[in-house]
Amino acid sequence: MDPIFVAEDINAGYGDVIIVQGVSIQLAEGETVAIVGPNGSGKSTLIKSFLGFARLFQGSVFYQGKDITGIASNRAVSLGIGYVPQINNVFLNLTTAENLDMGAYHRKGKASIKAGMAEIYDMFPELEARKNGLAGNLSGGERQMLAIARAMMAQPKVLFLDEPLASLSPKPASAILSKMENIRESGTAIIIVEQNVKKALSVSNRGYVLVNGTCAIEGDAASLFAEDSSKQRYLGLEAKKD
Amino acid sequence: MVNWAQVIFNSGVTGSLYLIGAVGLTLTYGLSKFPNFAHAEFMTLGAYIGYFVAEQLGLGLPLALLVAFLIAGLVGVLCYRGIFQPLAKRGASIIHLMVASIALGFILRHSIGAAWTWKPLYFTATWSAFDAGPLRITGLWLWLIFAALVLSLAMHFLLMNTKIGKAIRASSSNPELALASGINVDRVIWITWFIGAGLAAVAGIFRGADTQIWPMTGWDIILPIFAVAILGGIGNFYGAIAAAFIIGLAENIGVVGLIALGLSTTYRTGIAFLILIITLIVRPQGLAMLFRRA
Repeated sequence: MDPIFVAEDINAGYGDVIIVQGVSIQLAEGETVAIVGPNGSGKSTLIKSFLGFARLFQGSVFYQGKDITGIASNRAVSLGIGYVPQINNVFLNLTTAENLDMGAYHRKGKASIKAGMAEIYDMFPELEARKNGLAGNLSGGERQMLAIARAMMAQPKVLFLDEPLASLSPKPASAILSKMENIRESGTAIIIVEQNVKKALSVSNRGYVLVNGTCAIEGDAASLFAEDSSKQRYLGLEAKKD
Repeated sequence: MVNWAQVIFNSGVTGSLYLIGAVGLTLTYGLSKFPNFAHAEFMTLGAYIGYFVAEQLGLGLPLALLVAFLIAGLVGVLCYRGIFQPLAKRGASIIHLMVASIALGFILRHSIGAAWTWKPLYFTATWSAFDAGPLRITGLWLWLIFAALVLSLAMHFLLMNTKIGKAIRASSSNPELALASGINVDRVIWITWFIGAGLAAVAGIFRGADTQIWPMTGWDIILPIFAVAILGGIGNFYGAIAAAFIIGLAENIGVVGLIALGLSTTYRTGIAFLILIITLIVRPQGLAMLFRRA
């Protein structure tokens, strides 16, 4: 199958500092791919550079076969690329419903947005109960749900999730993972950046392991899972105890 | 014997003026992340445009307000796009932008002085004063309170019920997430600068009609207007409403105190300055926590 998203030979970073070097990834339609690796390995920088939130020094980015290298951050959404940042990923001063409205910013037609919101509430019933409350009053797990729901309001074909499980306790973390399954079933391809290797690979088809800004290993989730433990320890990939 | 009803009424008049003047300052500060000192000159410019339309062309106050709003709004957008946006894109800090705004204000102030001279001008339309119970009221003050009321309702509707209004709140609190949501944040900022500079012009006309019009008309009241923006919480419209009337009240009660102490009432600006300093020391976020959905 043709990949829906391809990044080739990416060098990325901030200011004049290059953090990611020569990384290439691709994502097939309907696939979930995990980008894992230790803290500071450049996972988040990599996906941010696709969307203009980090500096892209070198490389090309293709979406549906079209070159979108250096696209303006706010233009990617209307093409069908959603992004959920790791932190500050909801508008604290807006209600839950208003956050979802913002997710649908580029969509036209009140009726279709309303229908879209009903679908989202079907997928995230816990948010419907809090729809008129401020996002700033939600719990950590609910906020993460809202952050993903906001991105889903744009009807993305590709969704980037930056460490969605970070700072969540096990119960809300597994709730998020099961929502990811639902999202994949709905046909959206997902790239998930995670430190929690075990959990990320458990919902993914394939994975890339980043170490010090370069891709150390890539392969099927199952085969990465099976990497012997000494190598995992060397890569700093020991699964969190939970 | 102090006429407290009059003091309260005067506070409402002062608060109305400060509110209209501060809305643009606080919203553009929240979005563009720097205090625009040239906001003072948007007020001054408005006062002169208002004078030109109402007095020299003889077209009356309502049309003067509208024309001044539109022209000053356009000037505001051009200033942002021509000066502050390019600076910000080149990585200018808040200090760079602030100093640039002071320089812009200086240029505008002296250009206005060169164009119209520094001799004070006065609106000749007389605002008949009349008594209502214990109150001495002028028609201009009623217009001013009415304008602040309309502004409050219109801005509330805009910010809470329209797509662009929600985008203004969203972009102000989290610009990166706004971009990730597909919001054209630059466009949101331009629209806000248009509205903000336009409202500054409206405040300038009222201030000019109530006192005099000269190149310092805006600069004369920029300090209390900054105090309103900061006490209300930067970027917080609802906080600004509360802060405008708190500072209006403090100034007018302060004037009573100054008179009782035999001091000049020109110290009244010092009261707003005092509130500004105390806010920054005690509660730099201002009243923002009281109005979280802003």
